[in-house]
Amino acid sequence: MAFKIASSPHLSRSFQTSSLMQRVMLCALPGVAVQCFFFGWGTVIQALLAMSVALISEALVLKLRTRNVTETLRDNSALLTGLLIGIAIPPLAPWWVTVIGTLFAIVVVKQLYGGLGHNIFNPAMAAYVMLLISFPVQMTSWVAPSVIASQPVDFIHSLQMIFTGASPSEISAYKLGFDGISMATPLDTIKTDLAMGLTTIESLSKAIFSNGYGVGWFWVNLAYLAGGLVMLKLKVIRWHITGGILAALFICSSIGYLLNPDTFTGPLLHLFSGATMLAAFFIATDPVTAATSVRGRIVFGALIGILVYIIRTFGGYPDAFAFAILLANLCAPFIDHYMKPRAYGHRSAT
Amino acid sequence: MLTLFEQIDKGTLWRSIGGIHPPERKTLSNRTSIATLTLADEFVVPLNQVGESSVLAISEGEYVTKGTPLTRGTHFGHLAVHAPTSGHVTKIEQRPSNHASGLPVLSCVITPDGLDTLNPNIHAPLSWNDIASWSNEEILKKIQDAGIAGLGGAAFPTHIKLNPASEIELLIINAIECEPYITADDVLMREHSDAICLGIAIIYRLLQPKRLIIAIEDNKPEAIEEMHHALNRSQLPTEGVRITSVPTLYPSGGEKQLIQILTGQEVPSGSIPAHLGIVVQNIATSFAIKDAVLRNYPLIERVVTVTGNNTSNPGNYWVPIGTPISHLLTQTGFRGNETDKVIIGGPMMGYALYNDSAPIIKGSNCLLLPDSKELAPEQKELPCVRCGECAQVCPAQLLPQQLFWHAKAKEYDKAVNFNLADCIECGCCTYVCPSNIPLVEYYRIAKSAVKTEAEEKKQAELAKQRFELRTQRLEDERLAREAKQKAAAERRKLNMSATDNDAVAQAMARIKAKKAAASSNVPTNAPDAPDNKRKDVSAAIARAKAKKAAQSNPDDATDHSQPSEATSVDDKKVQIAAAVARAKAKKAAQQDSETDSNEQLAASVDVSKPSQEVVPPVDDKKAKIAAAVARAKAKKAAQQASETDSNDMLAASVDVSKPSQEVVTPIDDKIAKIAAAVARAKAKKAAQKASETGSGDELVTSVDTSNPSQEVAPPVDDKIAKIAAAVARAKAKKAAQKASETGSSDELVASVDISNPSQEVALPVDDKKAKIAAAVARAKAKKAAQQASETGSSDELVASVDISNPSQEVALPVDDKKAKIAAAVARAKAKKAAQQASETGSSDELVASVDASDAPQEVASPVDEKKARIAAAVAKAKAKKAMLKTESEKE
Repeated sequence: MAFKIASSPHLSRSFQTSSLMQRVMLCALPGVAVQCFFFGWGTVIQALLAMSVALISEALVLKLRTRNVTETLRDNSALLTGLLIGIAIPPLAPWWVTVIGTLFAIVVVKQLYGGLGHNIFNPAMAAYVMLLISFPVQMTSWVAPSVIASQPVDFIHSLQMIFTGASPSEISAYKLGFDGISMATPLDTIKTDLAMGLTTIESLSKAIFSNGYGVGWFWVNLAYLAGGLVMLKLKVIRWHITGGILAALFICSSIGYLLNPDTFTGPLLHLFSGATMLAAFFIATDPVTAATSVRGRIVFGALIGILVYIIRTFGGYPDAFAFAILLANLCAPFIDHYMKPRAYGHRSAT
Repeated sequence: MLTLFEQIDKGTLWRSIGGIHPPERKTLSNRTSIATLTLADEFVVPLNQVGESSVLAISEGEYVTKGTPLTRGTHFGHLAVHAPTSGHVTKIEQRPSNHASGLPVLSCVITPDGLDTLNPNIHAPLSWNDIASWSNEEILKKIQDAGIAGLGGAAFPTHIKLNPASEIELLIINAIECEPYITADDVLMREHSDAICLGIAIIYRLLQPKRLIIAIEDNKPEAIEEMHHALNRSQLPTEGVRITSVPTLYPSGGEKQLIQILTGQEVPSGSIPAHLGIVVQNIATSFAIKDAVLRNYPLIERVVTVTGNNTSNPGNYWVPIGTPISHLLTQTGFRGNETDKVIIGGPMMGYALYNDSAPIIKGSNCLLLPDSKELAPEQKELPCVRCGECAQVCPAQLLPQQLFWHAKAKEYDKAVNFNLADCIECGCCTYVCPSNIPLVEYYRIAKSAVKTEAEEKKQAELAKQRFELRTQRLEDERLAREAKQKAAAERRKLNMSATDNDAVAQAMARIKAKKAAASSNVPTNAPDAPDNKRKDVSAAIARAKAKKAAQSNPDDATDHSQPSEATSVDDKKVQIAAAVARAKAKKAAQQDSETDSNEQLAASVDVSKPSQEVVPPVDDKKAKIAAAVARAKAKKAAQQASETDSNDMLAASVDVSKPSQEVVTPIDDKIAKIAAAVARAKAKKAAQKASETGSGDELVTSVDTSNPSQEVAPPVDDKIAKIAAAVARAKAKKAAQKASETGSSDELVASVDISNPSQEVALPVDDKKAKIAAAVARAKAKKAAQQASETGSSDELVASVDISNPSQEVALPVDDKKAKIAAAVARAKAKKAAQQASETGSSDELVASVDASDAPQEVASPVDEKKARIAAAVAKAKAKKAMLKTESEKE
């Protein structure tokens, strides 16, 4: 009798790319929920908008490239990119910002480079940087956290403002805190204050820092941290990149803080404000654009952490993960080349 | 800091890199004891090594008993195979192999008689004490004769592994059995622990290691316990011997991985464990060794795990080697169909079998029969997302994903740089890949491509070498041909324009003569009363004036080689004067040659035509003597010139041609000939000495003794002339021979030109004798060429034996037949010479150009032409053969 033949191994851990992406998205949900709690429904609306645009644009490009549309869409990578863009964009940004960003991410950054597995840059971050440079006003208009806002946004208002276009005055209304002072993100606040000659202590006395780490943002970061730990536990991601980022950021900010606490913000504020946990667990761990070996990934993460600290402290932007990740993406092949592991039975890496 | 042995004694385990935890599913098959099956209808024993390291020991139709050897070894690596049962050898033919390829292999088909008669060589088991006196060689011989191979899967001959070149410090018995499903070793340990320990004791005795570790994965607690008990009962020492329980992790059963776990050491890439003083043996092999050594029982059966959801009786079975898998499937209740897989080995490294008529072989430890849902479903390969999981689990610490990119892009050299060769194909990377990429398959393809590429490269390199050698040979042949043609052209030129010799050489000689005149005293000729004397004096004065003129006007080349006296003169004096002039020229050349820095020195001593156009009657004898003296001097000059070692090029062109050319009147030819011969002999000596200057890069010893008696008008004593010519030739030969003995000259063109000895002999001559003389000369030339060819160190040796036109244009009735025969003989000899020359193996290129063509050309008188043609044809054929031989030897 003749039988079916196949190459070994015949066993396989039934864990597919699609479920990997799916798990990443699920683990991001706590963070999204907390973000919604503090910044209104805008985040969800933006995320859904970005995800649908991502799916549609990917399907179109795949059709143009005469690839199997449904099978490729099933890998969930476009959905994840959409989700990350939705999370990163300010909740009340106009719809076209999200659409342009998502189209850019999927069509240009991902598919034009050959689709999943072939892109050089993290699509979500490349899109974010593109939007940040192109539409700086829309991209920096974060609403005040609901707990201290004078006028929290509800779902309907969010929808209206996103899709009908809101005047800057309308948005700035939502940026007001309960004390009537326009609010920026904690990192933005500190940057502005330091530039104005205030010390970090003075800046931290502001309402947005009522809990010491920035109202809302602290909890958002904690939620993403929790989601990230679950991913580690599920082995959806490995610790190397995240560990590298957090360790480098912690060490750099500690050194700065020890040198001069008045002008350099402390490590905890760095770790728990801005996009730190989201980026460290959900964005920088995108394997396609990261280094591949264990040591390489630690270096890759550390590079992101150092870049983030440098740009946050000395650069023009309050947060810097998008830039840092893109720069590290550029370095990934280089890192890989010099971080080959020593193979079994070899004296040194060849 | 503990030593390695102390750590081993403590049971320390090192961290292994990578690895996975696939579902074990071992309980399917390890709950029952080892069962036996009914005999199959036929047994198919593969004879892989026949034709390589063994020969057949049986023939078709022969009756064999259980344990009869089927092959006889011819090589140390021979692995014997035996009849698994008694019966008749029905066929020895190609049968499908138990291999992933399923390609047919020469197999011995045995139809059992059902009696299972044991071979008389197999005896009741001896005790440990019985073999106490045996030498290691005896034990190894038993193991080899029993055909013991590693039973873990690779089936490497055990007798080689147990006879390592280096000292063994650590013996590891591998009972890890890390592949899912397989329980053959587990069950064997549970049931035959004592026999295993006896086998281990034999291995221990052979290797005398300092430590022994029996490594068992911790998912086999029963086996570990059994082995502990057996170890306590066994002959093995209690010190330095331990059973180590290793945490379950695939692939810790791999030899290299196990060494890493147990010792922390890594087997260097491309090396074997024995280099670290470690030998790893499979536990089932130990069991087989015991039977082989104590019972003479060959390896003809093994434990095979039959498992998977597609069998109704999973378990372990004693299966004779050679049992067709179809028999095993029927016996164990196979439930599957053609859409299912039949896997030989485990699910991680086993291969799916295409044809179930293939037999169980020594390395088959498991027959996995999964149903369609049991193992991984076939899934579409997705793009790699570079998640790096493969690198995390790779036990060889490779970067499987980089290997994959390069293997997929067919950039095999880059894949090799990522240590493709170190991949053990364990399958961990494929197991964890979320994109369902069959990584191991890519690596297998890449590995075989690399192998093929290396093979092709090797072939291409060989072809290139062959091509270059051929090009070189053709080029050398071309150069040799050109050199020959050039020499011939020069010769022709000399023959054609006897009056107009190499003008440059002449001019240079004249310049030198002029210089000599400048430095030496000008001899004054005493003027006398007689008419003749005066004329001589006037001639001498003219020459002296010419010399002076040359002195004052160095660019002016004076011609004093042709003192054109038209009337009857006292030739003697004329000759003396000429001789004196020549002597001066010689001195000049000598002085000139002492200047070591000259890059090129053409010492062309032109002593030609001393008595040219001398109108009779003359005192020929004296004239000849004078000419001879002049020539001798020229010789000396050339000799001295050649002693200047720094000259890059030395063309010692000794032109002694046509000494008596156009001598029209009756002369004392005999004396003339002798003189010519003497001159030639001297020329020879000169050439000989010249050739002794080893540093000259190019030395063209062109001994031109052509046309000695050309255009000699009748009547002459031809016989004597011929003899003289022959003598001259013989001497020329000797010169060439000696010249060829100078081994260091890079290029040596020993061009022995003895053409036209009797050309244009216009009168009735004793042709027969002339021919004989010519033949003798030729024979000598042959010998010279032969000797020349024996100089092995010369890089290029062109032994151009030109014996063309011996009797060309013989215009009178001659004894042609004999002449032809002589010519043919000469040619044959020349051929032999060429043949011998070609036998000198060290010369890189040897062009033995034997030009024996046109021998009887233009014979105008009635001759036995037919015979002449035949002789010529024969000679040519022989020459061709000689060339062919030379060619073939070169290749």
